[in-house]
Amino acid sequence: MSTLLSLVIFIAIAYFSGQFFQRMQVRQFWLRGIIFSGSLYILLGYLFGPQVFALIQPQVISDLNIAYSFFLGWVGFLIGLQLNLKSLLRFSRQYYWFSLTNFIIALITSLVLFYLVFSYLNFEMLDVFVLAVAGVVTSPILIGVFIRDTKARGQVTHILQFNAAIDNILGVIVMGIILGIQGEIKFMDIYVYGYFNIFIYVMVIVSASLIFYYLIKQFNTDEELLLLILGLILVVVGGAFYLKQSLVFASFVFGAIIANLDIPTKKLYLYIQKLEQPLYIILLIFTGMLLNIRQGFNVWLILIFLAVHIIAKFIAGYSATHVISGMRKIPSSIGLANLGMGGLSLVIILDFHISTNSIFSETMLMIIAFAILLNDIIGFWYLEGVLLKRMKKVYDT
Amino acid sequence: MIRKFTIAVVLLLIYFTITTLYPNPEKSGNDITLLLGIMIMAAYLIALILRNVKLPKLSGYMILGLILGPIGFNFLSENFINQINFITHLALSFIALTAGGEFKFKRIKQIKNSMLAILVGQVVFVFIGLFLLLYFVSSIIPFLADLNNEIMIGFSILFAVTALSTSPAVTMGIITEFKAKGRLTDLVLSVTVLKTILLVLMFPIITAWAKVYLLEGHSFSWDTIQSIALQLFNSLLTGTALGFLVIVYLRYIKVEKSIFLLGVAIIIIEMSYMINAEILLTSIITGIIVENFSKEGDALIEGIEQSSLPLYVIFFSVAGASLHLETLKNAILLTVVLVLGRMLFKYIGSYVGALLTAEKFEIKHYTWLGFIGQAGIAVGLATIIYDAIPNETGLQFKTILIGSVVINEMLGPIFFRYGLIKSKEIDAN
Repeated sequence: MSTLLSLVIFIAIAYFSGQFFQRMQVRQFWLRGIIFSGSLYILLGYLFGPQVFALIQPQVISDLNIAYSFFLGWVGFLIGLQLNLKSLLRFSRQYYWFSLTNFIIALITSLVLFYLVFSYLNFEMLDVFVLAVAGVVTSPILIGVFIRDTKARGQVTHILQFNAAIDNILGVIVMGIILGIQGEIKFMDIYVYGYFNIFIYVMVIVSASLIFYYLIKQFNTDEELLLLILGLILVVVGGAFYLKQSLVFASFVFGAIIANLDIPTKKLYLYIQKLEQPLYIILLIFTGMLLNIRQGFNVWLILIFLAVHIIAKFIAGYSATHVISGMRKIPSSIGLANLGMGGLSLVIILDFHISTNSIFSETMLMIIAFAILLNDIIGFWYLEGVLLKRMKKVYDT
Repeated sequence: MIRKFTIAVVLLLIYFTITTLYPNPEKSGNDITLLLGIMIMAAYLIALILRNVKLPKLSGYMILGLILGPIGFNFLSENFINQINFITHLALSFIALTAGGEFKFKRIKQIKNSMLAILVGQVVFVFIGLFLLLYFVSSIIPFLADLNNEIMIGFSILFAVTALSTSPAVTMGIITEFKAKGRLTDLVLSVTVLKTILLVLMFPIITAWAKVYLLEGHSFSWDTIQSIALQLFNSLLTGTALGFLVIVYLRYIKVEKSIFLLGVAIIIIEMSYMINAEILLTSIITGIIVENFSKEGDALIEGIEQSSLPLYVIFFSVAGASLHLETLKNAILLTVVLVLGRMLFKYIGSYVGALLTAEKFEIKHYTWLGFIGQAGIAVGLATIIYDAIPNETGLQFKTILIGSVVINEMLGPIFFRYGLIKSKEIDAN
């Protein structure tokens, strides 16, 4: 089957499964975990991919390079576009300290524990780092669904939402820096360290942002706006891909610069956001297609990841609530509310897979794909079974 | 204008700097995404600059393609063009879907007589006129004078039939870009669509006929007719089925129209490979069905327009990059004569058709301007000719055929826009 027809199948699966899953109304926390983790899309991708029904061949997956590079770029751009400094400064300083502490402690704990375990399996330091970053980012979907369904209000919900957003931003930044400084690349006739080309890479992103700034005033129609965004995201992502950098980080920086330029970005954001869900679903399905469970499945790796993830999140939440003043009302087990990992974790691994093609990236993808499911189930259990009751008790008294 | 030009140059410099500083020959193709983004942006900027000097955007895309193509910087290499083949196919299908969607039976009824008269006028004058011109001019051109009669007839047939074609992409591109409306627009569009359908069907027959003269021992086979009938049937069936599918979707589901239509275009392309349907024909039929058998025609056009701009930019830039301008210098004089001859016969054909149906002055004198853009089928034909005559003469034939397409393809958008302005169907500004 050709690339094009596979793309249609891709889109059709994404569309119809999206319609189906969105209409499912369930109450059980574990079922909610399964649905909102996006695991069903991953499963669909796996079933239709080369490993089971082989509707889509491995060659097609590599042929669609432009398409999924663009999808990753779109995700990064959308995250960056939310980073308007003026609106971020509205939040209290405590929130920032809390989220930053939470992120750093979770990252360091994960890093140390993963290194102890995975270095025995010949994982490189870079692989361990990427795995830790992918584990640290928090799914805003899980928390959003919890708040929407329980109508919970107050400081705890604010901090949860804020923390998830900051986690995502920090995750993308750390990932970008790690990929930016690692490895070697051929510069003219000599091989140089990755960080050597950061200047060129940053120049591409800044140039793209300035071009956007100038042209947005002259591109008036929606079609022209699409052309402008598409063209520049391809430039930024293409540059990053060529220089073996993080595609998500490149477009994230591009989005963040635009968000802080003196141009109205609300219309742009809404326009971009329209495509977020379908693209996200396509990414999940694509992940499923890349999974090679028969060869690389290792239940121990998944369980180790899960255990480290829970420990790191718990320690981070516990420390942050005790270290940062004014957070006494926040339960010290709040870290468990951040267990949901969501799409960004997958995006980080896919980005790593595309940029470096590490021999462990497929194993890491498999770990994350399963961990997302388990974490989201535990996350839902904690949010609805434990945190909600505690919040009621605290606010009732 | 200077700023836009500077930005286009900066974009090209970005590509040049990255690929020069970080050469990566062992992984060729790593730069496709970057190059695609640069091409889209730079082509659109060049198009905006050209618009300031009253040239259509399509010309801008093609000029950028020429600059970046093999005869320019060679950024858009043949490898790159092959790798983004699926995008150019998508664009072609979108263009044909739009052309079909603009083919409204109600409007056609009003211009039926003129349309048929101009169509017949074109076929008769352009085909016969150019065939005779080339056949007789050959006796005074040194490198053609020594050729045997049979080869000259074969080449004249192929050249004349190629000259008859009009590029539906250029026609639709200009109509969409300038939102042209009016009698001349309707006539040019409907004649182009009909001619495209006719040529798609007749082309294999004519090629087979020409081969009888060009290739020794080659005879006309009835299998060709059977194969065409099958292709027509498959295209009609697929186009009709997809047309009704689109109607149902646009009427009842409505959401994400652009993505759905993208899927339809892809199915059309795949069906063309799987069951020997023709992309252009199938897409046109799908468009015609949606437009004329439902009220969803406008929704179809709107859905396509939402996402077609990047595809159009890519399609025409690649078309520009594929033009073998270097071939022109080898036989420039004869090529120019044939291009001028084609224009003359297009004018006569359109004029006679309009005269017979008592059309107004503008239609008589400006309709031909809409038929100058030439479809790229000549490249395939040129290969047939070179296979038949693999020597210097064959190469000259190939050059003439491709060279005339190069000139016509570049002039087509400019002429059509001029015709629309003169007939007051678009604003000159």
